Amino acid sequence: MFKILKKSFKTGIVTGQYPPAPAWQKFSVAPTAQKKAELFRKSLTIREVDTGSCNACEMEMNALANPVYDIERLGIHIAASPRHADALVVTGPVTVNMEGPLKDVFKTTPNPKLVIALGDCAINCGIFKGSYAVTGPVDQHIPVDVRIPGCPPRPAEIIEALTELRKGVTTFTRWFKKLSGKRATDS
Amino acid sequence: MEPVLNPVEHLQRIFGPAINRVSTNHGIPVVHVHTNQISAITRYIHTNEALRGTLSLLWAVDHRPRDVRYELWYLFTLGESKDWLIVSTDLLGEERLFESITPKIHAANWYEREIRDMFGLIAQGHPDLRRLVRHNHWPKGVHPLHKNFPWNSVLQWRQPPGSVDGHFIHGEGVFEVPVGPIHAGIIEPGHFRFTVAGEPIMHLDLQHFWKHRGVEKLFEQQTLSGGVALAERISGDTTLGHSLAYCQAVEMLWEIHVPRRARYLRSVFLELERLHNHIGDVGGICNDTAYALAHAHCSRLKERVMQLNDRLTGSRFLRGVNCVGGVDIDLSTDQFSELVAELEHIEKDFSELEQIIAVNASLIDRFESTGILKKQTAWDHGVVGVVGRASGIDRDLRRDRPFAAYDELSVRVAGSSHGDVRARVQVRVSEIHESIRLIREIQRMLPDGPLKGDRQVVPDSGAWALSAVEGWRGEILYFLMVGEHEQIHRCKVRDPSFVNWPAIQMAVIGNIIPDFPLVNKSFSLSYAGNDL
Ligand code: SF4
Repeated sequence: MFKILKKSFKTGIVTGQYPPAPAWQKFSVAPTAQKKAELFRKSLTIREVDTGSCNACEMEMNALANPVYDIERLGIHIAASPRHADALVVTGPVTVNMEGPLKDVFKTTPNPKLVIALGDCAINCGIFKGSYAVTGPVDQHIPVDVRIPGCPPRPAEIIEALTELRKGVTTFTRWFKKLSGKRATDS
Repeated sequence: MEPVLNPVEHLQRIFGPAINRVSTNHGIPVVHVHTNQISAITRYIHTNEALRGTLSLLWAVDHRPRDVRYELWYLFTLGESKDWLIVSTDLLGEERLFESITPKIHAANWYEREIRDMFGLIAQGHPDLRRLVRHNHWPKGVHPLHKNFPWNSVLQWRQPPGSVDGHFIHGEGVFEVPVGPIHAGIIEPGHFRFTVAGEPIMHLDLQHFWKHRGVEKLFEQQTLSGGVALAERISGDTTLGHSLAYCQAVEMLWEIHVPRRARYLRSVFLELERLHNHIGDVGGICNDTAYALAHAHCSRLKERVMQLNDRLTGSRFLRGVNCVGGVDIDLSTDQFSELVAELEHIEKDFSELEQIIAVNASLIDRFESTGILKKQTAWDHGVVGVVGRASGIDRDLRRDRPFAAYDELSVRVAGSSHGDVRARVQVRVSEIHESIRLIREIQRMLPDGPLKGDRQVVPDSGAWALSAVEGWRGEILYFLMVGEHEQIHRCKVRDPSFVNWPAIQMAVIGNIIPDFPLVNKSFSLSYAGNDL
């Protein structure tokens, strides 16, 4: 017990100890996505689906949950089932064998939902493009809202994209603006 | 007293007339035999006391258009000496049948099923010829590694996807628990079908290859110099192991002499890869017993190593480090000192954690005698790497077939004979310390010099090389055959996961399903590397 406490004190808080995302990688958020993401501004639950990645993209998704990145602090959770998810993060090109399961997962995720294509493979099949065993990038099968390029994207980049996505205009601010605008014209 | 015969002479004495010819390639003896004798000869190699060969790799080559024949290759690692011996045989013309060796050699099971799927060659007498790579919805007659199958064909589905056939046990009180392909955690897709009666698992049926991306066919679209990026993306967590194995194969074909400094740097990076994966796995295994504290600390340490990778090479996964002929990334003396200083910290940190883990009774209770893989079972299945060493299979290519700079380093190979989860954790923990020790040793020995060697020859069409690397998971094998104009004719990739997956089916028998994630994590196998 004493050892455990000592270890914790000695380690201190490591959250946030990572280099910032390089500026040259740019994610893209579909215009409609930010509006969809309004609902999930405070809390976003993600289900990750691997449709044929090389597993480096998965490892970076896993890294998001470690104490250094700790995405829970941003209100992002990883769900165990697509039925509990607000967003699907899809990695890898869609293989012939995974096309069916991907579509099933999309169907079982409740609306409204976001789809995030993570990594070059998910966006354009990357190095596996054209292969007989690959049936195309994710957006060939389900609509994609956010694209995070990289092979694999660093965790810092993923966090940046997710933050940007949820920064959008909220219903509250819109309502507030409307109200304050009204008042301004009133007087 | 009888003179000691070398393995080839030994076979010649017993099977003289069945052997067509004997040759040597890069020091590996190749015995070419009659097709109808293949079963007898392989069985002899497997069971003879003096040879005791384990099947390390079984693959086929379609020689068209150069030659109208298929060739089957059987690679054995011999018991005591750990030497390699290849047996090969031809299927001429349109001959598509060959004798299965699976009834005698378990390790051939998945290989023969794979060959049937990819080439349409049928292993007669195989006890379980279900489809392996091609799931049931794939059209009939599609064999992607046929030379006349276009790499970019679009497949027409035969039936809706998702249907798989398994092996079932029927009886009162027996029921089935299907899991996957999409799992609860962030892991790769695979389908597990458990048959249980009450709590204990009676049978586990694995259905993999969901992630099959056609890697071997994609290699055939590349020239020798162009395959590195693809090799790096076979299994992301083993980026360096795979790229190293690929580069070594090309270097053999081009007869490149890799400079000493490059060889040492390769060893450094390989140990770094081992380090971050092993640390992450120890944490992951603890997490599967719900011991979140150890997991948090381990994932923190793993992140430290990955950030270190990033600082040193510009890639958290060591991508772009290896190139054919040497390495693209150099480490300055300062960088090396930073590396060693950081590793000292990490080792100290990890040792403190070890002391906390080691005294946790509930954790040890979950680890001990869970998921036992017996030595005999491991040997029968040709299990390699960490899992093998934890079950008493004393094999490590860094010592047995030194590559990179390991011929000048003395690797202390970890091992255990218990074969349970605890043994696999212990082997990993020892290897973590050993990796750090090796990097420190390299710091003292690192020579100066160039980073890349030059190619010497243009290989003939049909030349081949076989290279092996002890990645963090185990033996990674690459068979590379060149065609016209340096185009890759065939590249057989074998990630250690491919041989260790079938063994997990044995290790879980008698355990309860809630222990399966623990057993699975203690094996820590790649789906991507297995599925290709
Ligand atoms: S984008 Fe790169 S890292 Fe991600 S799955 Fe594809 S090859 Fe792997």
